[in-house]
Amino acid sequence: MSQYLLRKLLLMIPGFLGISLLAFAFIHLVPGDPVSNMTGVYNAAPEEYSRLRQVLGLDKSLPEQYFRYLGQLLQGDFGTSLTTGQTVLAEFLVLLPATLELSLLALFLAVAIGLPAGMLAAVKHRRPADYAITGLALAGNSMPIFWWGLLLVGFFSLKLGIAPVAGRLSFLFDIEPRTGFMLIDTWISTEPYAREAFFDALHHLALPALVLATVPTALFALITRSAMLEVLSADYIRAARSFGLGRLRIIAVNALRNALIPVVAVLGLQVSVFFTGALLTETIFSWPGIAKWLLEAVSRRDYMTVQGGLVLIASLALVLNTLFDLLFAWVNPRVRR
Amino acid sequence: MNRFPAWHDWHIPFLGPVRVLWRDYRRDGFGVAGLCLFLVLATVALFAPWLVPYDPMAQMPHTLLLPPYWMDGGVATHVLGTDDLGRDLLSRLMTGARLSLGLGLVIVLAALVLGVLLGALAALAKGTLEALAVRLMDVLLAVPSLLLAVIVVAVLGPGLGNAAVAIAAVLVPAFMRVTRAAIHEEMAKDYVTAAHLDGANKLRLLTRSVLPNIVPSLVVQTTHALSTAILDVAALGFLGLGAQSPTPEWGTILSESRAYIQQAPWTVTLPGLAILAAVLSINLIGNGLRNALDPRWKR
Repeated sequence: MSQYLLRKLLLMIPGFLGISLLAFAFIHLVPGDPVSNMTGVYNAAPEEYSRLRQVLGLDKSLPEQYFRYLGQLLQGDFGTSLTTGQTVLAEFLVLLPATLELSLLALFLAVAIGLPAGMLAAVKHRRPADYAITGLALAGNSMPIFWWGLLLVGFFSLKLGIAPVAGRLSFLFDIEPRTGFMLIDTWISTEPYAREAFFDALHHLALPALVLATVPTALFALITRSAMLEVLSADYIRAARSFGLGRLRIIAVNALRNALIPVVAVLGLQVSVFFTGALLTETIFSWPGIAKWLLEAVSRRDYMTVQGGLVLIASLALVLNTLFDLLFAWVNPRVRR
Repeated sequence: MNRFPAWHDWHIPFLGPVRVLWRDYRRDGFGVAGLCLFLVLATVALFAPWLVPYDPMAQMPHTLLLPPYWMDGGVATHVLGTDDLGRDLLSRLMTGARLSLGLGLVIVLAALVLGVLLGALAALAKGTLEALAVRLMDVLLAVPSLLLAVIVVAVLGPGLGNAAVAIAAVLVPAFMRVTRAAIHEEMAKDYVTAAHLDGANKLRLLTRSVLPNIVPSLVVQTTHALSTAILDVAALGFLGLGAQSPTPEWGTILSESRAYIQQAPWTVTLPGLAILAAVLSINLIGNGLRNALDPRWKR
């Protein structure tokens, strides 16, 4: 296992190099003059322009510029936003908890609903419950969640008026951001209204988390179902049954553990699903997270933020992917080669 | 238990691979339903210019925000109602089917050709080149695909054509991975060794022996890519990075009518239903094909 761990960790290095190369290519491929794109200064006087070129190292050869950029990244310098003047890293770290909080709750929902539903479908194979769950899961898997989110807002927020339309917390509450996770901040807050604020934050989270969880829930249900079907027909399950073990015990103990392996295998792929979902969910619910931040930077042509955001988000995805690979190897010794 | 066919069974007619596939596919109700839905949508998409009751771009100032005909105030001449500029929604959605399905197919074909070529090269490559190709694939697959598409659009500029290029580019690595894995799996089999011993060179092995046998994996991946492409075209349109108004692309229609969700909810529900129907039909087909092609399910 330790050899596998080391190999996986070392393989992240070419991954980071690839990401940095991608980001470096981005700033040079983007339309417009690199000097203006990197500084936000347009129509600079000729001497100012050549000074900026020199400061940015644009007068050097491309390989030299790349190594310079790589050096900056290694020192934790991901550039400075052209619109706010803050470092990209600082903005990213402020907004990341909002996306993580939303994604973690959605992941929890997806596992809590998807796994039991998939198991139920497999146990009731080719019976009405199976067809209902499979049909719902196939529809959920195809759901355009930007539309689904609008429908839910239209129904729960506008028609029934029982859910907030947007944002993370009502403006009535003044909560000091300590961790950035609204549920934790309101929980540990010492304000007299902390309890109300906590439930308000949960109230704001419910609809976006439900929207973000839709596709992963359906995927988990489908994968659990097919894995469970395969496991239930395996010889060791028949053996367990012939020993006289109870049906529930076989499903919950013998079968579930083996059926979970394919579910863990797709967790890594969920990083991409969740980010795609976050892009759309955060846009619909005006959720102040990293996906919406990157999208806004693109529409403002704040190319430094886009570049830094690309490196940070892609690196985060790479790290999470590697972690899920390791988790998979931990539960399934067969892949440790 | 005798599992081998008796002599007298030898006259059973030979079924080609497509016939066998259809025999196994037919048993999956969801798959057949998806195929029917897809055929309806494809017909609409193919003949949209002749079927539409109105010009999808024509604005009719006297019929703004008409509801569908089954709702109060709806009229039979605008079956699905009109939008805020008085454009006929049915005509716009039918033209949108042409854009979504047609463009989706073009995107996926481009990604398929490029991905299979690069995947085959990666499978045949040895040493450093192979390691490099595999690492590149892994990085591109680890980065969220819509993030990459957004970045490509940022470089090329918003627009339907550029969004299509971005999505096609993002779909290539998955095809590469499937191709490479399938080729590796087939190469280890005896029939390839036999062909190799018969003196077939690498190119001939690849094109004559291996490629026909990786088609099933590619078919499943293609349906998956097609549903992703349609969904991503709509998503980019919704985010304002894909098709721009007044193009009747489903995601763009949805983002235009967002403001009318209370006043005219049908302008939001109907385009979304169209996207859902298209993606669902393809996913149902993909699911049915996977079950029919997977020997584990032939029980």
